[in-house]
Amino acid sequence: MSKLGRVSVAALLAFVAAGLLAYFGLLPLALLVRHSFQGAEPFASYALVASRSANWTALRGTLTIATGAAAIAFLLGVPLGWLVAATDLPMARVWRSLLALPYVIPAYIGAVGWTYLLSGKAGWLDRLWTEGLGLPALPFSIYSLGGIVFVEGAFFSPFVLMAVAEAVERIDPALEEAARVSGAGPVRVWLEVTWPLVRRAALGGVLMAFLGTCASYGVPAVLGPSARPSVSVLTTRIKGYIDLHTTGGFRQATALSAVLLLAALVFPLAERAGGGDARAAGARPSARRPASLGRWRAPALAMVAGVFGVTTLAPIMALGISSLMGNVGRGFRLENLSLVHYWVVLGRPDALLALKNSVLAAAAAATLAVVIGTALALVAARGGGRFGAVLAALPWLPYAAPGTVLAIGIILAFTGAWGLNLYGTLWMLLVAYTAKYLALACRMAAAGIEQVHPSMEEAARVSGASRLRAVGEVLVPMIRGHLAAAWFLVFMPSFGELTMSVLLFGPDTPTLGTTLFELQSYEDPSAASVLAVLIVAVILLSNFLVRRLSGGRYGI
Amino acid sequence: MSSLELRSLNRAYGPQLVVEGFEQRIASGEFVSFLGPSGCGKTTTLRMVAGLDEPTAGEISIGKRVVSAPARGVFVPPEERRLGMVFQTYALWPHMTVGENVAYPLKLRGMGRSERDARASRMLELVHLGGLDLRHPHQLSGGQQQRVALARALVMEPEVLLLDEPLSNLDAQLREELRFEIKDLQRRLGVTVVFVTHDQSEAMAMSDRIVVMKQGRIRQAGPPREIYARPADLFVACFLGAANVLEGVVESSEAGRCRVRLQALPGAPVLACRGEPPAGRTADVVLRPEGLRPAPSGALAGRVERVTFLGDRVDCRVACGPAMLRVSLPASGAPSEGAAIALEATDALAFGR
Repeated sequence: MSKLGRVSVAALLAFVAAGLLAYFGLLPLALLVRHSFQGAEPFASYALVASRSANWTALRGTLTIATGAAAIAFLLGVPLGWLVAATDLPMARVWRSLLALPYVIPAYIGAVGWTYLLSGKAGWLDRLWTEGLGLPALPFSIYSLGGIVFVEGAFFSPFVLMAVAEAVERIDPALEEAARVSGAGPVRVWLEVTWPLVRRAALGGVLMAFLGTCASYGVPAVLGPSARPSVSVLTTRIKGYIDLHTTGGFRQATALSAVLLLAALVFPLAERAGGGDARAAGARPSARRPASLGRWRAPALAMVAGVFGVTTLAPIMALGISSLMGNVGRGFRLENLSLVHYWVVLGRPDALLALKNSVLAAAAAATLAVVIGTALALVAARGGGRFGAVLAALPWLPYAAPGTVLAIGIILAFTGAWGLNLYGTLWMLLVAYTAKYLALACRMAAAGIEQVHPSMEEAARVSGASRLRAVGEVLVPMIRGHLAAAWFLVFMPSFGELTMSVLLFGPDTPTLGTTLFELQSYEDPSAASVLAVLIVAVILLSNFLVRRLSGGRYGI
Repeated sequence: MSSLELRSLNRAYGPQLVVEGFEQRIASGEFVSFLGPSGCGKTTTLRMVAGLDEPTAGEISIGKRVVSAPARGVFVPPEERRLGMVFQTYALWPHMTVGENVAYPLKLRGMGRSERDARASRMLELVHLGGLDLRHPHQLSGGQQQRVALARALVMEPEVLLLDEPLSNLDAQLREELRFEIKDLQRRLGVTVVFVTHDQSEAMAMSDRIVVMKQGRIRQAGPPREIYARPADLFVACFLGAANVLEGVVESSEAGRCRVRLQALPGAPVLACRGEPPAGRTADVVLRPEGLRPAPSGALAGRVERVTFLGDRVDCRVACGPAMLRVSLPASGAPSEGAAIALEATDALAFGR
């Protein structure tokens, strides 16, 4: 048979995967940039956007919050990352997982949790302060610039924490030991050996936190409007323009989006630094023995527990308690405990529809992302050459693009002008989730493939298996743990997704995120907390499965 | 069983030729080794035979079937070449049992379960692993995994068996043992074998013929004894066995023999060598450690610097002026360190520069 007829099946699949990526992931971004330059003159939309002082306020808001959040993430992430990875902190592994939890829980859920605790007057902490202790009202509220910075910082700190912890683990302990033997004290060793080796990774994590906060919609949307003075950021401004439902409004939204997209340019830097080259030259590192904290062990433990309690446990607990309180007005009493909100929510058709939509869209996106991601990773790893490497890097574009930006691009691309009209259908959400999180699945599949020596498939080929069959019967079974983990890595963020969903959902396609958001802002905060608890529970279960399936290597 | 023919095979990666003009006919049932240092193109050549790599020019035939001929657009994919191959890493599939690994090639050919299981079991017995069908590869030792890989490669009675450094991950004793087993299996089954190795003793022990390669080209091909005794050039001489290389000037040369004067050595001795470099030119003289022996009238005068005891023999370092010669002598009657010694050279080889 001719060579052409042969290679084609595998090549065709790779081609299809690349085509899907280009159509659903890259076309929207390209259209968005193009659209922002359309109008009377190329820069008309930009000029219009720049002439409004509210947009400058929003830009300032975005940069202020992102900078503050990155600083908090840095201050929390570096010491905690080192404590959980390199010291004899009691139950270090458990703390590591707990402190990284916000990585998988959407930040807006934390924001919603905080609204029960610190709302200026009626929050539980406010009341504990004024009624319980008889003190004058607290001078701060979660509905403020500081509140937004705090929640974002807390929820993005795992980026720094995990980067630092992994970098610390890669350091050959002999490097630190050699410094000790040379006469440096422990603090000096930390400053002159350890920190220089983890610095790149830590800064990568800080950049990620900065970017994530720039792109964040949920937290400023929940906390910003009620703040005095009210806080506005680029993402909420863009949503405001879209809500005008006018051509001009849409055009200005694309111009603002293009500005926000600039932030994504930093992404490769952050990604590369996060990949960290703390691996020092030399032989295989010896086993790391945890550094002894000595008499600092108890204070360190208290600090770790305190940070976890304030950043993560408090808002999640608040949601849990709120969802279980029969009558909010009657406060914390045992007889006030009730599952009534759960029954109410389960009886609401809109909530059930949202649940169904979220499960369906997230599961379908996860499946699709795993299939496409595996195909792309395979092309990159097995003889795609330079083309393959580029192909495997492309999914990072839609991942790095802020969700708001990607969603607007998807509206531009899939409302009929480019072959598909998906507006108001679940397909819209499916496309958004798949495009956004494909990179995560692709990376996970690549990590699996990397562990399989090419001779495994070659042995199958020589034994008589076609290329497809060698992949299907040898490679895929060997990396099935990775593929299952990849599935959940896409499912988790898609299930509670808010940023893109609020722009893309239609009357028949509310999701858990959009429904929670509406219930929280307008109608029924108790029902909202039930949905939040549901989202957190499903995400925690998924994370647990990722850990089990990957033998503890992935998930947190 | 099949013969194997490789005709002016080239493989280029970009501008770099990793295999160039490879030309070799391997007879049916023959055991041929591709020997050379790493990067010499031996593995690439083997992979082209397997269909895991494609030549950029030339032709490969297995038996009467042309399997690679880029000029004519012919490329038979690996799964249709009916070969057996053992990889350096063994490449046993961890998600299959030992029995399933061995039976997989039969499964791909549509054989029913009971028949293929039976044949896999018989094959495992042949490699002394009877009864281990249900184990998983990771439960086996390195040597056992090697045997499973061999069984898998042979189970469908391939026309040609390809071995890619199959012994390099094993310890010395096991390696020796498996050498004989592979050779024994090959004789019993009569399969044509191509064996890739960088270990010259492995190649000499097992092969009917050795193909010595360097930088993508064949430097010499022939039976082990012939290559060892009459290496075509300095590289081949040095690659097969230990060698002392000394520089000299050719005084006379005729009928395959010559006389070379080693000017740098004390007394500028003249050695009779095999080889026919042109008179008056510089030549490299190769002296094997076992070709040097003490003799009162020996032309090479020196001093014993160090004697290393190796059991039945000793390895001596003899300083002859600026040159340090390696000499292998029987342990009985070996000289002591510091003694003066005169050495006589036999089987010296000369290669013109």
